[in-house]
Amino acid sequence: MINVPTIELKNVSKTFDEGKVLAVDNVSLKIEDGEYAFLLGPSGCGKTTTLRIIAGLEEPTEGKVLIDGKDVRGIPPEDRDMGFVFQHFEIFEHLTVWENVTFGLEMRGYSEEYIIQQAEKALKIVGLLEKANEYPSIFGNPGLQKLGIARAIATGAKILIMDEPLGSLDPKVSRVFRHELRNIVKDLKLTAIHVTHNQEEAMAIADKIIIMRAGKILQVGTPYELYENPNSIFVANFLGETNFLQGFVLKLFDDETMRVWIRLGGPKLNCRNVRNRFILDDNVVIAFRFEDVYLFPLDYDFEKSPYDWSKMQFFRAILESSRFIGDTKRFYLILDNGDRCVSVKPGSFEENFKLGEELIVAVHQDDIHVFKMPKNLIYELSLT
Amino acid sequence: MNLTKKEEILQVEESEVKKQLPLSLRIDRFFSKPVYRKSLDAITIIFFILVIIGPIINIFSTIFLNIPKIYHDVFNDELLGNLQWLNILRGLGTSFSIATIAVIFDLLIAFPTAIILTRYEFKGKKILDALVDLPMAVPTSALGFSVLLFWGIFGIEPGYFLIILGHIVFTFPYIVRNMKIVLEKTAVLYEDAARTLGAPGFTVFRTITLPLMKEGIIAGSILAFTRSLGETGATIIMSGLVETAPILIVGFRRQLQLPSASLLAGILIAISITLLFSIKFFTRRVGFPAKKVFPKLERFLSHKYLRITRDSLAFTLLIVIIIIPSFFIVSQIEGQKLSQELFLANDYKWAYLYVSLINSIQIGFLAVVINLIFGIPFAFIITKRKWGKIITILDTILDVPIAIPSAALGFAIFLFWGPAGLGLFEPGFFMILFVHVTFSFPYMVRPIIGVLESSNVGVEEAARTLGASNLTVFRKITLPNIKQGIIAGCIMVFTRSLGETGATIVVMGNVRTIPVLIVDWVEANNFPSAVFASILVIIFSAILIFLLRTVSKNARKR
Amino acid sequence: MVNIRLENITKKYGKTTVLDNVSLEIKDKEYLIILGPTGAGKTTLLKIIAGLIKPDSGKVYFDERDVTKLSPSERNIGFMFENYALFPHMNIFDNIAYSGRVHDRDPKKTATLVQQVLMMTLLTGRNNAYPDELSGGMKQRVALCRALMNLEQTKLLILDEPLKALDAGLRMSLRRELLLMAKSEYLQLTVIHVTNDEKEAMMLADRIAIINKGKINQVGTPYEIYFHPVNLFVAFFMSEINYFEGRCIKDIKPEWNIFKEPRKANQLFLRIHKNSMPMLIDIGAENRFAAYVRKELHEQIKHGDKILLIVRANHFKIRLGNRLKEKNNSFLGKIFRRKFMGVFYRFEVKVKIKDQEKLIIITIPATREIHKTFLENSEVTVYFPKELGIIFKHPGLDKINEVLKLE
Repeated sequence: MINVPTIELKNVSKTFDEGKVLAVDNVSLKIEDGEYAFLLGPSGCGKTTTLRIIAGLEEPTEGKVLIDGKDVRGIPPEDRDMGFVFQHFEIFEHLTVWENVTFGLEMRGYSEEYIIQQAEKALKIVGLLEKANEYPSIFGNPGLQKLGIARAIATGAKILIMDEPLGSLDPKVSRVFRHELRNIVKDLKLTAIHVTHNQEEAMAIADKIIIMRAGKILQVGTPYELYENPNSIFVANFLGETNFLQGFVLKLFDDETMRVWIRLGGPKLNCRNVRNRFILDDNVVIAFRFEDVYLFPLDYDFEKSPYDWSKMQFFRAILESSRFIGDTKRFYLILDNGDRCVSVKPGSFEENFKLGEELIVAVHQDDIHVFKMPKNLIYELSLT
Repeated sequence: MNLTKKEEILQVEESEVKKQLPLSLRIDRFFSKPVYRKSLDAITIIFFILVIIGPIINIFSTIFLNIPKIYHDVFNDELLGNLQWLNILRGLGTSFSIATIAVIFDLLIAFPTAIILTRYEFKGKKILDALVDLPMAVPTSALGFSVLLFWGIFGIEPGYFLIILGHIVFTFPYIVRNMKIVLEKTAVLYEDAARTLGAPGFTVFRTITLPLMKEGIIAGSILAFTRSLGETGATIIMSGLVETAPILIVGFRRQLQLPSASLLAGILIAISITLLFSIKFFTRRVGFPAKKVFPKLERFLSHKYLRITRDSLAFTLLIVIIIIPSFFIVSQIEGQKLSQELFLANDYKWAYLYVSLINSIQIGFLAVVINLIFGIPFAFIITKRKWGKIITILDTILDVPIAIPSAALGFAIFLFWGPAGLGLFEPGFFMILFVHVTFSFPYMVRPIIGVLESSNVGVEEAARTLGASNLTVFRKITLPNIKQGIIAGCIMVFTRSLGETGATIVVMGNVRTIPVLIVDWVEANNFPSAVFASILVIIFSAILIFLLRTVSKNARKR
Repeated sequence: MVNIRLENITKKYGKTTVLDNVSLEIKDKEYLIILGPTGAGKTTLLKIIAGLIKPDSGKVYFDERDVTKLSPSERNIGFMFENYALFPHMNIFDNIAYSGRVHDRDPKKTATLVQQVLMMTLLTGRNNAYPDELSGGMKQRVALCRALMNLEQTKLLILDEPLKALDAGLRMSLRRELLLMAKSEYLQLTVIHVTNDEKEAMMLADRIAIINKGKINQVGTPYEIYFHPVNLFVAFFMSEINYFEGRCIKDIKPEWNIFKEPRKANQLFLRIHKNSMPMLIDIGAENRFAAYVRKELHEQIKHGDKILLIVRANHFKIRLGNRLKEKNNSFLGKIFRRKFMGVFYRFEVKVKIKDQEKLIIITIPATREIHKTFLENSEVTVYFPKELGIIFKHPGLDKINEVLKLE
């Protein structure tokens, strides 16, 4: 069973309202055994519908849904062996913690010893074993979701489906809890699919991210792959924080690089021209992440450092303002041509910059991503 | 669950585990198949049609089939000419005017009362809240009697004016309850926003609260109007020589003037149904002037002292016109006269009392059971089935028994099932039961719809993802969660049944229920006995209302 | 134009104390953020400032004028509600113009102002739309416009979780717009902004007031809160932390020479030195550790007293191999788990303290080199500069569980 992907969708589409609303548009994806996959995208992109199709709470209008190679269309959720975790917890408030957790096991007809064993194991994993005889009303949101997770994993199902499981928790709580969640999935060797609109959450704990927008899949890859090689302006903008500058191709070089001249008399920067996709005079949008922007005072001695500066692209900018954010520091810059960009450095970055000071800005050639100018740049840059 | 077993159990491997579903779950799975669900739906719809739609259609078809006869009796009698028709018109006019005046007066008192109960915090609020609900606890005939006795002290004789005073009392709890619900739903949030933007109290009320309440108030007022239109039991007691439309129907029925009764019943039913449907479709058009602001005037009107005056006035009226008359009867027990008349006289009144009480309780209980059996599936159909327009129609028709004058519907049922129609039932116990089932059906279904709609679909999905079949979900998840709604429905059905007078009179034959007995005794001037019977029923109903409030409070706590 | 002062505000609902003797001062033109978990009492505090709720005891002053008894309609502030509370029965124009109408201002002037404010927030052309036709982001801006129309007199803007209902991405991009708008030449507002998101607080605040269970724990600039948290709760709330239990060591032998001056005269470190002093502790590692403690506490903690050491995940450094001899405050361990998170790499490093395994969480800026070299199971040395270690009196295990355990 290891060769077949655990979850596979083939050309799945879903319409609502007698065909008027196309929620999921020809989506194909594979999730392998033991992978922690994310369906990530803005509200309304179809990620929750896709998730519910996998769980059996919705049926696809077209396409196939394969679990372990078997077509599961028509099989209701009660007969699919999966655990589901809901955004609003959906805890059975009239049952105790213990009864919530044993519910799924009872439905499967296991022996009493087995049920006790599995339920204790699940409660221990989430740290709620001492509260087994209490009613869920004693918990706040984090406790309720822990209970929801225990209930879903107690049955021993190997697939865990989660619809914005951290969405109803305080930001602080979700930032702490997300790592516990990943640890649970990994320790139990589950295959997990997790839906969210929060890219920080996805980047923090995903093995594989599937980015969706308007019912379609835009790109699939590990956080590293998506971060290093976004295939569209939307993906580059949606993941992490990115600077965008418009310009056109000024010069082509032999080694699959080129020089781009930023608009309105902005800087000239060398960047990659992968597979020579771009030609002279092409209108382009270049992108580089906030944390890839390096700052130096005008009098910085580049010779002193052993670092190879040959691939760094330098230009000047004025420091408009800066902010200390704890783990990071942010610097807001204005270029000569009026364009703005932002640099993010670790919180311990040592500097003596003054507001209004002109600084040297450097970005590594390989950190610059280039895209063809789209017809509707505003739509591409929108996060919805 | 015994945690200490942990030490005794060795690790149990999954392969050693017996995977055999317990019997209950296997039964659930079997009956979760679509064919069973569809059959249940079909049976429920048939019940609904027979019980509610059937008699109504029958009235209209009877009218159409008997147009010549009706025309003859009502418009063109040899002796009386069109006297019947004039009577009918007069009765309708009286009923309409009474209903209008009562509703308007009620709105004026109910508004400040509802606002006080939903927006203010003060000691004794719970008591006021209970006080306002109490007239609902009193069955209408007892209520009518109490009102009669109270205002009689001031020299107000049975007649038009007394009827109005009675209807004000009778419809008040419904209007206030409706207003409270609407006010509670209207987010305080919007009022807070308006206040932070500089609006004084009166401006907030006029520009924010009122427009947002509009639909709810109109719906509530129309329903209250139709109840007043159809009220029979209390009206008979308070009417003297005045004849409202329902009283006319009762009269026609007693005198076996069936064509006239049919016509009037049909007219009343048609009016009520029209009003009911109009709620759904026309409330949007009505607007309140919300744009113009009169800052100085409204700041003055918001002034604390004006508010206190207004509230005190409303409170006084509440006590004097509504609360005291409702319970006046309790003070009217005259021990000696009572025992003489009731127990020592030789016409076995106490025996009648006993039998009527048993009848009322039996009918109430059976009505609850029957409505439970069909009401729960019906509530599910309305909330869960995706049948589009059909659901809207069913939803609207559901309220018809509330909106239609009880005497009229009673007559329709009499026509449909009785000797003049299918001939399956004689006037008597079972026809009374039938009538009670019809009337109280919406009172069972509405609370259940309420909890179903506000209950969480998510938990049911969660149960399914954990392996529960549809019937298991219903048994283990849905039912415990809607328990409160079901209990509320049962209590309301029983209470409604206990107080039902108008239709019962039409179909009772020789059988008596308590409310009808009260009417009989008042008409025969056996006041002490009537007082005693009324107090008995009041105590009964008060206990039921108290239970209802406790159950609803627990529901809200969770 | 207005200074706000809250004095000993207490509010109870039944048996629950929602606000417990809260005092707070908000300076004119300041962007103050009230930060705390859900249920801490933040919204209640805002409503008391706005006059929507009356406190059980305590006073509210606007520019030293006692406004505690004043109704909300007389306070002339802009209040933006969580979930916006746009009047559903009025279109956008009427929503925004409401304040003007209620104050009986010149309708032409009001109309112009409405258009101006719509333009400022990029909403022109949608005057006649109703709230239920708008997206979340648009509703937020309408609510903001409506509030702005009312604060002419006080220039006080109150925001109740203004970004909570928005998608994460939108939240990040709109945050800065709020700050820029409030600080603009044209408006120069005093802002009280409530949130439960610590990153949002750090991004926008001039000062942060951290509140938990009805009590204000600390008020200070982002720097102060981050480097000088006053207790475990504040430290924990602002970032991922590692905590170590140990004891204070006060009989210091001169030859130990652990208190070297920081290598560079760095603004960060200088600031820290102002309020705290170094202390030597024993947390059960092979060597003694040094970190900093508040000056007041330094007197109170005696030799041998139990202490708690907090080091933020972001303040740990990591090197391959065994460098215990070279670095103070160091542990030897193995990388148990590693995760690329975008800006940072997150490592869970297993170390041994007193024969017990402990997991230390470290976040470091992600580079390609790290991606290739710091692999799982590598032997590493993790250490932190003493200036970035924070020492508290040990609050007791119950308190630690209360703060750290999520239920």
